[in-house]
Parts: sequence; C-alpha cells; structure tokens
Amino acid sequence: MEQTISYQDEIGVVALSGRFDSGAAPLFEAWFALQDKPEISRYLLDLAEVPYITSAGLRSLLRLLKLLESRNGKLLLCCVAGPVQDLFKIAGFAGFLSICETREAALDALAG
Amino acid sequence: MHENSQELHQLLEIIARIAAGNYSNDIMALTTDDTPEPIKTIAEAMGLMMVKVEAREFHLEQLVSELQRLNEQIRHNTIQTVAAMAQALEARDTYTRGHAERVAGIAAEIAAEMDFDAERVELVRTAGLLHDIGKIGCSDRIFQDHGPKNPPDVVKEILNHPVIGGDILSRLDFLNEVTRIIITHHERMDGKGYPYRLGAEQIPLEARIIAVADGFDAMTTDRPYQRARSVEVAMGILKEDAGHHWDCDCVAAFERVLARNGQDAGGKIV
Repeated sequence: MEQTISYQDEIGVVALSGRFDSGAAPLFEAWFALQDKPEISRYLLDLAEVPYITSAGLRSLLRLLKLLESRNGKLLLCCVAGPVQDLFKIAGFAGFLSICETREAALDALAG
Repeated sequence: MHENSQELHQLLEIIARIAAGNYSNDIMALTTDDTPEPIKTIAEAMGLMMVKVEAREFHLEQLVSELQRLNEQIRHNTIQTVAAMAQALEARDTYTRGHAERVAGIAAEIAAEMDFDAERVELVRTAGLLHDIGKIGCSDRIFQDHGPKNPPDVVKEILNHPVIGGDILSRLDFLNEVTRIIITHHERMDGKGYPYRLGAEQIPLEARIIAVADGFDAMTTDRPYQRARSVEVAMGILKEDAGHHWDCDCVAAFERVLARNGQDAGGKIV
C-alpha cells in the first residue's frame, strides 16, 4: 500500500492506495508516526484507491481513531469502496466512523 | 494439516492468548498470503473478531464520555434554571437585585484565596448563587419595610428561609452539598445563628464563606433598614465580629481579596 499526505487549512489529508492488510498496516503506522504533527487534530483519510481492508488494517484504523480522540481531534473518511464499507459494518465500525462520499464533502465537514 | 503443524500450533497459542484477553498484533502475522490455508482464513476470522471487540470497547468509551458530558450539561442547566428562579425572587425586592450573583462572586474569590480546588470553588459559587432560594417560600411581607423592628411573624419567616431553601433543593440529588451549605449559611461561630444555633465546628467552611460574602454585600448595598455602608466600614465590622459572628480565616481571606482587587467589591470581585 502507498500513502501520501498533504495539508489543507490545517487538515491533514492522507491518501492510501492498495490493500490495507497485515503487510501494509505496520508500515502505514510507522509512516504515519513520522508524518503526524501533534498540532494537527483533524485528518481526512481518502480510501478511493483501497480495494480491500483486512482485520490488520481495521486495527490500524482503530489506533488512529484512538490517537486523534486523545487529542480531541477528528478523523473523517471519504471515497470508501463497497467491500471496505462491508468490512466496516461487519467489524462494528459503522457506529463511530464518519464517512463522506467525496473528498470535497469531507473537507467541508472537517472545516465546519 | 500435518505439514502445517507449526503454523497450527502457533495459531492455537495465539487464540489461547486472545481468549485470555491479551489482544495484540500477533494474530495478524498469520493473515498474510504466506500462511497456508485454512490457517490464514481462521486467523483472519480471529483477527476480525478481536478488532470487533476492540471497536465495541472504543465505541462504549465514546458513549460513556458523551454521557458524562451530557450529564454535566444537565447539571449545569439545572443550576442555571434554579439560579433563574433565584433571580426571579430578586424581582420581588428591588433592594436585593444582583445580590445572589455578587455573593456568588465574592464567595468564589474567598474560596480560591483559601486554596480550594477548582471544583470546590464552583461548589461555593453555586451555593452563593442559590443561598437565598428559600425566600421563594416566604411571603412578600419579608421584603417590606417594617421600621426599626420586624414583627414576630416576619422574623419567623426570615429565620426559616435557609430550611425552606434546603427543602427546595433537596429534591435535586446532585445539589446535596449545596443544600448543606445553604441551610447553614446563617449560622454563627458563637452558636447564636439560625436556624439550628450550630457550633463553629459544625458549620461547613463553605457556609462560613457564604456568610462573610452575604454579610458584606448586605452591608454595602442600600436596604430598607439602612443606607449602604462604605467598603471600609463594612470590612471593619466584619473584622470586629470575626470569631463571634464570622469565621476569622474567611474574613482574613476576604480582606486579602479586597486588598488585591483595589477595594472594589461591587465591580472587580463579582
């Protein structure tokens, strides 16, 4: 999985590409720890290019949510593929994940 | 299965650890494409179950924290509602307009000066805001000018207002401590106060603080029975009666607050 980060109005926009599985999850966590700035509390995770997520990816996502919660931050997801959405439902993430259909909508929601 | 016995053994060990509540990433190592089937599928199913439990715990923590926030909001709104009732009470009596808020502000300053923690300072402030709530249950006669001496029935009503206040607030469980302070805010250090003539050590410290703030504000505002006294005169009376009427430590703390705030009790303290 590949990952990029950019910043828009103090929002960290992270775009992932590839399967979010047990190979990708630890690399993503290490990468994010290097990119993360404590002063940034709002992140957008663009999953447009993520066709599938496994339990390892879900666990990474949960850790990210906990980290941002601890600094009163917010994480929004956008452009989530159907199979990934299904896994979110199965794993019980749907109750607390905030998902927007487009990146623009997610940025608007985070800015507001 | 025989050729996968090493992975199977590893899987069973990890499952035993998960079952014991030890959640880690170990199971994820068996969900890679290198792991033979059906171990990989079983590991992924176990991993998903584990994440599901963790997600539930996370969600539960979020909900608990939201509940605590809402609970605090309800508490705050209830105090504001009761305070609005107390302010409505002041509309019956032009002399006491703003009295509750001033007493709350002065009492909170004294409490902070006496090194109370933030939560206890807020307790004192709330008690100050609501200290005369019992006057809601009194007739309009207690607000009228009866000359130099109040008739006995008016005196009786005045003496009873801390108890009525306690009764009103006793229905609000979370205000238990405030209630205890309000009931005793007219007690005196020498045991000559009302309604229970408690001894010094029986009067909560918070109530002794309210008594100083209440006495000061009563002395420095116009009342039917007196013109407002100056801050200096009122402070002198507090000091003179400290140990008898008022608590010495509370009076001393208030004196330091006044000195710091430039003797401007009506403005800067409140």
